[in-house]
Amino acid sequence: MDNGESSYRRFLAGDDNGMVELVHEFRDGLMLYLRSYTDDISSAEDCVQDTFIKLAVKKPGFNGKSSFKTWLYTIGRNIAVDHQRRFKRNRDVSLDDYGSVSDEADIEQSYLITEQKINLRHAMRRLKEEYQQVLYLTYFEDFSNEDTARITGRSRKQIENLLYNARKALRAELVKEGFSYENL
Amino acid sequence: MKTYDEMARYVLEVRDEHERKRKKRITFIKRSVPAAIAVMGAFIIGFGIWKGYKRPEQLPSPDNIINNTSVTTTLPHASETALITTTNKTVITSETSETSVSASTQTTKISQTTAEASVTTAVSAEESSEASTVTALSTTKAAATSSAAAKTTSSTSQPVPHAIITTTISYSEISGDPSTGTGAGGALPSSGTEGSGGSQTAGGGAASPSTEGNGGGGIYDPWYGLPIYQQFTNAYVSGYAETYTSGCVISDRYVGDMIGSVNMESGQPVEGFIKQCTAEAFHINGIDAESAIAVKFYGHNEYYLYHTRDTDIYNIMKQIT
Repeated sequence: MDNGESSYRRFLAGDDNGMVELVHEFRDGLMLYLRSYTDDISSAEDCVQDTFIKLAVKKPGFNGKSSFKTWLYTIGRNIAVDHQRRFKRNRDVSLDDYGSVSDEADIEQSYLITEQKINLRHAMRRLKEEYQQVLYLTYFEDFSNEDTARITGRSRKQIENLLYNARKALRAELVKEGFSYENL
Repeated sequence: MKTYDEMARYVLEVRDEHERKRKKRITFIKRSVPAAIAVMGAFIIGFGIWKGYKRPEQLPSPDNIINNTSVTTTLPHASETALITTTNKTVITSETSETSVSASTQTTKISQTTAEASVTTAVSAEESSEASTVTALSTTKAAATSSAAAKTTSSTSQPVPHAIITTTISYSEISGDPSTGTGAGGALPSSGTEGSGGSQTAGGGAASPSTEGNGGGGIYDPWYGLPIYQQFTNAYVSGYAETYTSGCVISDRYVGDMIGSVNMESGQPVEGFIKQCTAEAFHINGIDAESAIAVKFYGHNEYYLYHTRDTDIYNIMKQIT
């Protein structure tokens, strides 16, 4: 598996199935990651969709300095940050735009699969946003500290500190709810 | 929430829509750019023509040309018989520089005329004396060239009381009459006096009076604004070795008999050339012609005192005043 690079190259060569494959492969994980940047899962979905639209329309070149997934998540994170900035300026959004809680649960079921991971993510949701982001990328997407730093736009040292504090905060949350996660 | 396929389809639709707009834009540019270039080119060419257009030079009107066909030269110190074999034609071109100043606008119009003339005057004179007979030939070629400038200036900066200033500058040019003479004239610009023995007839055969305009744009020489006697400061009278320099205006009651034609030259180059013209030389009553003469320019009524360099002008002024 080349993390979607070949699919993207096929799409650039004119094969639309490459884009379909990318959407199938990265939509859920990217949406759960971008959920920490947005107020609801519907906005996260819009950010994911905008990420793929940017790939399809702008056709940015992938230079291979990082993995395709890291590159894609970086693009998605930038779009989510822009979306968040716009959303802060224009708060009067109708309630219809908020997605249902069931949609997020469906994605968790399909993407995280195990009950343990789902409970872990629920506990993470109560942490600070930046803790959520680094914990999700590290423990759910298996990114290295280097890739996490690249995606979030921070230095590696910052990521290590963030991870240390995030782990401690998550451990406290899990203890409070009576869970234990041996990998923490 | 959209399914995977719905999201992928929506992404591809957005991509297709974007591609369609891009192709439409490119097609529009490809079609409109040649037309735009043609319009721009036409505009640039039109602007260039408009900027490059210059008003045609104002040629002198026929009223400004005076033909004077009878110039008789009487050699001074005459115990001689003069034979003139060439008829000279003198063309006087008057030019007017007019400046009108009003309270709100100022318009300056300066027109100068380029004139080229060549004259060949052949005077064959037989001079008799007690010891010998001398035959002299005098050939003169004169050329005068000036450039022209036309300029219009508008200004609204300072209110100026209404005034009209008119300055008239006149100078004469001599051209040879093609009807007489057999020599090859028309060599411009050259000036000289030649003398040789024997009797000879020469003339400016190819010389013709011509006045043509110049495109303008040159710098206006302040020489043109000087009075006529300050423009032509040097006078050369035929038969006199001395060079006369200009002095002042004198009353016509002190003017005596006519000496003859006098060649006038500007004291300094004007636009690269020494300006030349001819005038009439007269005796001043009670003053030796070797010391001072009176000069009258064609087209002017005043007489101007011209004196040699070693003449005491104050003594002369005492005598005539």
